[in-house]
Amino acid sequence: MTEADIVFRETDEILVSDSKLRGLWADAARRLMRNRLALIALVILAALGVLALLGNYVDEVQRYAPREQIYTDRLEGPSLDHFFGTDHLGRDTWARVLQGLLISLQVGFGVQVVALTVGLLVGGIAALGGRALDNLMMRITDLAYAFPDLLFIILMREALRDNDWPIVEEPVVQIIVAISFVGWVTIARLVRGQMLSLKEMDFVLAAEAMGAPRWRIVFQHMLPNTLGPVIVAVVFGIPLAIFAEAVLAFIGIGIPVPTASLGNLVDNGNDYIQQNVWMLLFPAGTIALLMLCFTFLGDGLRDALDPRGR
Amino acid sequence: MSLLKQWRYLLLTLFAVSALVAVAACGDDDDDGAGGEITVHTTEPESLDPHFSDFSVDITIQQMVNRGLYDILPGGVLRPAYAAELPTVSDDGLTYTIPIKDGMTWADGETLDANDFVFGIQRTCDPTNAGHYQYVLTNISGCDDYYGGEGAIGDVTVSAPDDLTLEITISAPQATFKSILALWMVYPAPDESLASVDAEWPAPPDTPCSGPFCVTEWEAGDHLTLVKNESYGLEPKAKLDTITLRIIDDFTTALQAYEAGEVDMIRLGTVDLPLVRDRDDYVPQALPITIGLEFMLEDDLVSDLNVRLALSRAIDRDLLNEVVNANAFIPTTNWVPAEEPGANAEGAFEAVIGFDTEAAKQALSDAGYPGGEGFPGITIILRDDETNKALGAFLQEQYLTILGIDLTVEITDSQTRQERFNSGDFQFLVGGWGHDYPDAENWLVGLFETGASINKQRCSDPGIDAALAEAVIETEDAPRWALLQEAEKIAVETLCGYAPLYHRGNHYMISPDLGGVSPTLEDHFMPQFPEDWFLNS
Amino acid sequence: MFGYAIRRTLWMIPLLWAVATVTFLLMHAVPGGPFASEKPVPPAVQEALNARYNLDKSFLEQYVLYFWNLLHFDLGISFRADTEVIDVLEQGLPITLQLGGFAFLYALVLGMSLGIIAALNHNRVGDYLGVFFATIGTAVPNFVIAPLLILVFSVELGWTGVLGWGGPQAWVWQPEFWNPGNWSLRTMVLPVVSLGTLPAAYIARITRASVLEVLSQDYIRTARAKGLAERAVILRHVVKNSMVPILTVLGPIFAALVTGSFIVEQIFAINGVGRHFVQAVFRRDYELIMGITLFYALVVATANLVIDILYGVVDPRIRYR
Repeated sequence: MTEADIVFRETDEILVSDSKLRGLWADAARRLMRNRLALIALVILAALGVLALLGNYVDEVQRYAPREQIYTDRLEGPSLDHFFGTDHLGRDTWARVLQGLLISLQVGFGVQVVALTVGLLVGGIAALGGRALDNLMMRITDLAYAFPDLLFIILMREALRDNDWPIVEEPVVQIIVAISFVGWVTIARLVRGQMLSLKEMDFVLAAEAMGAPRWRIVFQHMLPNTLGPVIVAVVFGIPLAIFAEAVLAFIGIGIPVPTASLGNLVDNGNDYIQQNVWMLLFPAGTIALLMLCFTFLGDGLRDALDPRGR
Repeated sequence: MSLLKQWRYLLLTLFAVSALVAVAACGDDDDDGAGGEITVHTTEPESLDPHFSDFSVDITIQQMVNRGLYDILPGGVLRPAYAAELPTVSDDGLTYTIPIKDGMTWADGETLDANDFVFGIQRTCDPTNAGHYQYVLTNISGCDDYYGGEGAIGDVTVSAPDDLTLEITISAPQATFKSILALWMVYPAPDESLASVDAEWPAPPDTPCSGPFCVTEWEAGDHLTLVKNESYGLEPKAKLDTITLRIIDDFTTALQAYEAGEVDMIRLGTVDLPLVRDRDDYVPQALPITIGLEFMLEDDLVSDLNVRLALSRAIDRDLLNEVVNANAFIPTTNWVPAEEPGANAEGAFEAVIGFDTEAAKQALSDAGYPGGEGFPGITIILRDDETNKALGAFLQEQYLTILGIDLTVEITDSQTRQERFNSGDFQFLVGGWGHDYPDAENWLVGLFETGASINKQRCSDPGIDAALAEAVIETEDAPRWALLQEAEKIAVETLCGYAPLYHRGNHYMISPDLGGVSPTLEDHFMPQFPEDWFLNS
Repeated sequence: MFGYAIRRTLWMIPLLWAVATVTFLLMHAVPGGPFASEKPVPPAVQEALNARYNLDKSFLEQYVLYFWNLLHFDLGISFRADTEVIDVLEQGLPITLQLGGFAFLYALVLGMSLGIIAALNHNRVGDYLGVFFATIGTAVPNFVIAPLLILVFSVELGWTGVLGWGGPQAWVWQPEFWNPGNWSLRTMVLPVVSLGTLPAAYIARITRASVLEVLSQDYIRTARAKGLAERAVILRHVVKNSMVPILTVLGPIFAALVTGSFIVEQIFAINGVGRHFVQAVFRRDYELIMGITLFYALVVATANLVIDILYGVVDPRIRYR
């Protein structure tokens, strides 16, 4: 939404189409506010975000270090001392879920940032760069599309983790790179589709006729109109990225020990399901809550941004 | 359509589906039952070729469908299988003459005689077959050369002067060579049906079969089917008709399948032990296997004995056993299990390398890192499974709180770990050894001499070299064992590659309907001697 | 349209080649060879093994060798049990396809029913319940659902099986497929439910949205005004016209079910292609990885193509260049 805001303010200077743009965003915001489910989801997500930050940087909230092992307190259920119980090594599940929450949010947002950047670039180049570039970009997206997502992520993760290449040394970064390798395609296609149709629209042609430079047309006219569906795709993509991380952890190539990611926690929880079911329920519940909220928010955004105003 | 009607349709469909499930459930009962069929747990084997494998799962299955010259019983006693009696050894200790039982055949009717044993040994030494365990036969002249591509197959000193006599000549007297004759790399190979010595070991159902059962089917990833061998010439004959080896990778899934009655005997992982410990069908089994920290002695940090001592003495082995392994194993500071011939007594090295926080801190200080200050951090590589993840986290905590150092845990898959291990690209990891035959020699020779073929930890100690060099040529047991004990003492007390942590064992759930299961003696996946198993009902 | 279809089909060949090349590069970027031993392995043995599997040749040689064989329809030999890749595929495909197929049917039937019922009872109890189940279905991953289901229904209650798929290892055109004795419903239920619940929820949401939109159309109001019975309205107009958005997601869903079944296969010890793939990656079983990836890419590309064509057929407004 930040990009849109910047554009929003700058359009005061442009002669063309400014009332249309201002109307669209304000309208969308108003519609979103009316959607109770999306609002609740937004509030919950904000709360989770705050909790994740507090839970990893403020001791009173975290209460126990996520890696601290207390051998006398193993496999306990929820209690006043350990809100979510403990795991097989006596580690506090509350602290670990909070750590996992932060990591999952990092992965989710990180993946979408990368996917957004690459998708915008590729889609934009495809739409605006002429026939040849369009073909090239589309063939590349075809290739990425043909790759079964999870399989590619697994291969990518394996390749990244056992090599000591610079930059991608951090496991979280490795996972983000691996997952976003398949995530940009949807956005690229969306951007291309939108921009292709926008290219022929009246207000763009008018701006061109009036001599506005190319880059300005793209950034101030076309991009804001493309952003609607792109934002929705990004919001829907976050839970998919979180889910992908959980799958990687389940197979055993997630974030390494001792860091807790929600996927790791669910994986451990599965092993001890008959001895302490809480080890599974709390992290699984957190994943479910995250996915639900993002889905509702995405739904709300899509309805709000849809010009047909259902 | 009213809401009520819609939900009624939905409920009706759900009911119909559950009725179908119930009917199907009643009509489908293929777990253990009449006709002598059982289902037993296994994980995926790599190969059915006994002249190729070193993988415990492979060997378990191969010993169900093959037999060799001898079997090894508790206490190291040799029982003749296809051999008619124990071998006669020439005076110089170099020639072994083994009589073969008359009238033996393979399952398909082909004669099983001394020629097949010659053929089998040649197969193990054959470079195309690339047998993993070839090095055990290093004492048979010509085997190493042939394997390395330098010699000819005729140079391997094994022959059959007549159809019922096998003759093997070794290059130096070896007291333990008789035990080697009981191992799988000396199993026979059918010289008539296999086209040449480097021919592929046929896949089921044509797999050569000389044991109480034959493997008729191998559906990779799913199961193997073993059927009673009617032409088996040895005693006792199998009592069961069919054994299905169900491939289940995950131990928790295996337990669930056992509870649901789908499998009659399973291996347990340590995670589920607390759930079943008090049950009658739970059968623990101690084994001659030692697991410990393995150090790469050429690494700058780890080459310092004081660092290794700190790392070994900071581990509370009893606590580790309790927290990580659910008290499944036996904590130890011995490398060779105390019951092995030629081993040191239990606890002999406790005072030198055992748990002692003060000593650990002192050792780290002596190494130049008092309180962990200035320690550059160290990495351990672990194979990916549940227990190892817990082990990694446990070690991290212990090292941090006791020594104040940072341990990085690298969890990798088997292949990567193996490659890192083989190429020496590690600081330390967790590994171990399980014996092939019951003698301390098997735990030391080949593993600790400078430059030895499986000395991956690059241990190099003149004291060990001298002791082992003498031990291999010593023919009397008592002095030989004394030399081995000395070698072990040096190896353990200087942590020349290994810091023992525990003796691993197996844990089984055995259905009360299944009888005759005797304890495992080796690092096998399942108990041995399936010909003794029978169904109670 | 026909020309478009032909062009797209031909285009799959270079596409698959590109997929194969990328996979090949990725695989060889992963360190670790295919051999893992529990005990240390002497160097001589290591060399002999490498020679046996052509691993001592240069990267380029292996690459060329692979594609040369591919042209002769030789997919190579898998390290697992020294079997040919084509045999592994032949063994695992029927199972994965059956699992995916049944999960697909389950998702379709359950999803559409829930979606239609919810839409028809818009803003009433039926709608809220439907939406509730649909949303829960999308939020809980199948590797959480599956163990819980096993615990409750197989271990505690004993109603369902734990291991395996329960269907015959046969294709639709083989007689074993049609023998009811080869099918075990109690073994099949849990894997199908675990795999199909998320797509069911997704289909339910889309169906509901689509039906709601159709219901608000004028021609529905007209049909009702003309006195057409409600059931006929639904069956004749609503269902048909709401199919388009649903159709567009069915292709990717089916592809996702077939290529994404490895978690369920892992948990239930089902011997399908998905599980083979994951194990192949961990074992560095190069030939098998390539074989399965190519197959999966083929499935996904075909599904996308079918949907694009269907879309063009169903919606006359869409024209392809």
